[in-house]
Amino acid sequence: MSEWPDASHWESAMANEEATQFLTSLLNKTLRLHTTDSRMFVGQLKCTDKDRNIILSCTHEYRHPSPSAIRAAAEAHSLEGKAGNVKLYMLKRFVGLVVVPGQYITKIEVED
Amino acid sequence: MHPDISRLDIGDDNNRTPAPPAAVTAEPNPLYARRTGARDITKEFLGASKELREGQLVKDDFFTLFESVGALEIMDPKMDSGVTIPDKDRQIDDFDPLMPLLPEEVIGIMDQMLCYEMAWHQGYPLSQTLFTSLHMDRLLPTDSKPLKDIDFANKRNADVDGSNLLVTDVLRSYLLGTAKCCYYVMAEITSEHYYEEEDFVTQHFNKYLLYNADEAEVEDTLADGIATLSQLHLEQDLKSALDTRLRLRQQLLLACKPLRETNIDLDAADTWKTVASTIASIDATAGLGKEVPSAFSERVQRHLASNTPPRPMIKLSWKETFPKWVRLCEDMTEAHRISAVMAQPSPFSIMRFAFDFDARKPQPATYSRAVMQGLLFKQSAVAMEMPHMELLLTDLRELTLAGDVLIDLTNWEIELPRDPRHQMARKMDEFMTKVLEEYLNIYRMISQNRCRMRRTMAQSVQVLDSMQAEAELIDSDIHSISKSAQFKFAGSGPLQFYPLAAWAYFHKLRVMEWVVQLGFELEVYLPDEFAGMYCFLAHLATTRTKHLQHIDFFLNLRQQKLAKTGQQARLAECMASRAFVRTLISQATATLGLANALRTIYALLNALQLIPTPPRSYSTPALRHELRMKPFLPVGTPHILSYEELNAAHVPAPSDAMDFLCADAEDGIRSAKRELQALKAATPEDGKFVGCEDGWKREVQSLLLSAIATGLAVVAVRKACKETGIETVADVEGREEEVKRRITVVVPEPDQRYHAWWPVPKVTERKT
Repeated sequence: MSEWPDASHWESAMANEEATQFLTSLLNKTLRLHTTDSRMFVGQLKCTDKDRNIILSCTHEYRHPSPSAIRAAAEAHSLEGKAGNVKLYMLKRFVGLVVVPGQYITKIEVED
Repeated sequence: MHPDISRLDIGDDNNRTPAPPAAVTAEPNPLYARRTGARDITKEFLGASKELREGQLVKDDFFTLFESVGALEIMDPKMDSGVTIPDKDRQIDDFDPLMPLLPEEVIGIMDQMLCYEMAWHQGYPLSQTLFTSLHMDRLLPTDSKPLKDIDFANKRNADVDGSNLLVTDVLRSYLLGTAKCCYYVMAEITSEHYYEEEDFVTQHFNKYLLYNADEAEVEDTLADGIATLSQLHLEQDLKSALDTRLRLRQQLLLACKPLRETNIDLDAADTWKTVASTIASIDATAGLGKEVPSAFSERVQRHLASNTPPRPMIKLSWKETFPKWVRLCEDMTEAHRISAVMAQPSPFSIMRFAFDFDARKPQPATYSRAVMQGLLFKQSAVAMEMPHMELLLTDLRELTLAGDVLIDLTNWEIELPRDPRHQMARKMDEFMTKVLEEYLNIYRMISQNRCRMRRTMAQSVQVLDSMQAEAELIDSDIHSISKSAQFKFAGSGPLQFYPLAAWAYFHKLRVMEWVVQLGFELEVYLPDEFAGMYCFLAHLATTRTKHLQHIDFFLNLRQQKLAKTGQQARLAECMASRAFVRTLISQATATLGLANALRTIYALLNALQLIPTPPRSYSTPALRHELRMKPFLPVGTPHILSYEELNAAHVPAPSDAMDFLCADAEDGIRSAKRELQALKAATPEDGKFVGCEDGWKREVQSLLLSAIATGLAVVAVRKACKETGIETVADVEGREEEVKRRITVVVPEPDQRYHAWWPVPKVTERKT
């Protein structure tokens, strides 16, 4: 190469290296991805790219109970004359290897 | 609208996590508190992603692009079964399984379930069939639970007065019976050999199919259902229709009980006959049912643990389903007919029985074939009464070792190591342990789907070849121990017989022939290759005929030896074997004759350009020959014909007279017919087909018809040649069109042939 890259190149190269390092450190960690349709995917990070497309393996999908199920639980709760909170379970199922496109991801968490 | 998901806990011990409903505040759950340690890294992740270069991937080194292809794309409605489709999902979310149903509707649902059950048997996953029932979806939990607690989850409409017993008792017991039955079927199939992608989907989508439930408990539930039903005030015809359906579940529960738990149950055939008659009476009352489309939805897949994209429900009508159920019952009855074979068990009749069973058209369902395998293999014995070692020993005895001292069972009782009898027994043990697995594999292969059968057989040829080599070594070891295989023959020195190698060679040759024959059945070869493949088949059949004659020659010598020493029992054994080997020779010769005839007729039709040759841009005849011979190339014997040798054997020379070729084909037909007549007259004992008489008769008959049809084809070709003045192959040139105007040739599809292995061309004169 005849030319030295200018300073901005250096900077972005540094930033890229740092970013890559950060993302690499997350590989195989368990991530929780929240999506625009209020689902959550929990699985191990296998791959990601510039557009935040994320591939998770051994993934479980978590979903809110349906409105009618919540209603029914609340009714049953009050019928039984109990006070306080109604506890409902999120619905979980195994979906295996998934790719979540970046555009649908609203929140990313990493489990410690 | 939705509460913040991050406040929720994720349980790892079961499949649910506490989630507070919208209006309620979350209560920390001490049980899962340790798992709440999740850090929000949205911002960091976003920032880091932006810094990545276009096309740069950050990935685990062990994760390959190949794997990623299988990943499901979330939010893509074609890939992601979890995408919400509000209109359709409401049907499931708001579904109330305890909604009262009319008796007609319950019948409709039950019959629909029978349709789905059959679709599942045919190879579709539960998610597209039985599990699309919303009742089933609500009923079956994901974890093992006591049966009494397995109920339609939604209790809010549960009527205390019991006016909804039709659903809470009758339908529930029906569904539980179905679930247990599914478990039985799955257990049976997975305990044998099958191909998940091709035969059957064993996935249960994390639903509990009552595998822990006690059989008697499920039976009691069904009996309770029947008792409850009898108390209900319903119209008589509806009541008895419902009763029949519950009884069917009872009978199926009994009939599908996995084999290993029962001893070989001769009554099982009767149980299946009962099932068949119940199915018939269900068919008679199927009109009473009323469909309930709202009780089924493919959207259940949103709730099922599955790594497959969403797929549609499989719609089979009762009209389509009914014959399939009848067929299943017939197949199951037939499989249990193995007891008839076991009346006089011979490995050859057992193998024929299994072969005939697999060849039934349409092919028996995976479940039926699994039961057939179970009957052959469970408890390492055939029909749980003939141990596999004994099967192998009998096979040896019936083919090459009849009357031989080598298989005298007293050998095994001699404990003195120097005694040759003891040594012989050790050698035999060594041999049998070595070959047992591969020998049994033949039975395993013939119980698979047809394509797999051909593929696995092609793969096993090489293994059988090494089995033969192994046998030869042990034969020579035995020669040095005993003189039992040494014979004197007039005018020559002592002759050595290699009984074990001869036995192995016979089985290898048979498997090789089957590979070629199945190639015809499965349409692996195109009609323009038929002449060459029949030529190869004839080569194999010739080899087998000669080999059998070689075995018979030594059996004859042994017979003479035994006659001299007056050992009556052994003499009888030897003579029985000779009678059997003679039928085997007839079979091989019939195959040879028919293969020769078809080779010639197809060669003729090729020469007359009546068989279309498709354009093959990347293939040459030599390459195709290599491909066809590939499974056989590694074997030591027989000699595999090279491309040039095979061509020389079947492509007619320009100077060959048409008349001569036709006469050649007719020779083959004559010889085949003669042998087939002999086979027709063979007794089940001689031919070793006790218990398979019908199959034997059918086969001989279909081969005879094939031979006759081949004769007709020859006559038509001869006539056309005469009329167009074609005398030699060279004369064809320039007259192809004229021939084509006179006759047409149709190669029948496998199911239109007299025998799937023998595509006889139909040559017809064109009407002018």
